[in-house]
Amino acid sequence: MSGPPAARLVLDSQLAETRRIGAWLDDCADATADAIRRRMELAAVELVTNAVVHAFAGEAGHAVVLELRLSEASLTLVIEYAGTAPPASTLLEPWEAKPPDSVQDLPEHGMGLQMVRALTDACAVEHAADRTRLVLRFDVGDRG
Amino acid sequence: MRTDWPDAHIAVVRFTASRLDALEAVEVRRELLATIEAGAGSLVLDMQSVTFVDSSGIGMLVSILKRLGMAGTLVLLHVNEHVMATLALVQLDRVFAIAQDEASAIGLARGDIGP
Repeated sequence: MSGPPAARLVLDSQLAETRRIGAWLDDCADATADAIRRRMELAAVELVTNAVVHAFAGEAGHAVVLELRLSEASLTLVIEYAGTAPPASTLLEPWEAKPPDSVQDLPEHGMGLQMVRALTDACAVEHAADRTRLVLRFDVGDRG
Repeated sequence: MRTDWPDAHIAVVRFTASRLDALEAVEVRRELLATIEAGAGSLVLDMQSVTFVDSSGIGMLVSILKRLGMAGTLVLLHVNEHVMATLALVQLDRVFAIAQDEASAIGLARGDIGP
């Protein structure tokens, strides 16, 4: 884990709140190159959306807390909320994108967690006391 | 969104929102299905305004592609490099027909030229 949080954002459990993530990361622009900032935004939007839909069933009034931690080699985004979505096994499964055999085989759902795995250099899920803590690591300078 | 009809069976739908996310995808899907119901066999989606797409937006596009079926075409027009990178992340950049100008997009929708 990197050092203490450099920035913190508390969202309410509503889909509209995901639109605050990009602006929050923009405010951290000194610390985040654009390519990493975009990866972080997409991964965070996917996971906060997943929490709103699956942990809170769309019910507003629950806090989803984002923290950004910095080190020389990486940026770490921590997302924490009450509830237990997504299941750790789903997020941690190895995944490799494969083109489908036909249009009718294309997935309409379930791509979000796959995208998070592809966007991050490491991700971990902790469930404790009916809370979920997602830790996403983005290494600096290893890809665009 | 604004919709133009270059012919009776092709609709060009111009997005005005900058984000195609879970919040936006439900309403966009409803409008695109209504356009198909109104007679569009193929769709051109002008994504000039779109700078961010997430898995909900991509899932919506996939559902529309399936709805059009084998006889129709879904063409994405003016796809921003960041949106393209997100499509590539799940290898769907190879699945959608993509055009950089409207004449080419309408040609693809008509089946005049290959993707």
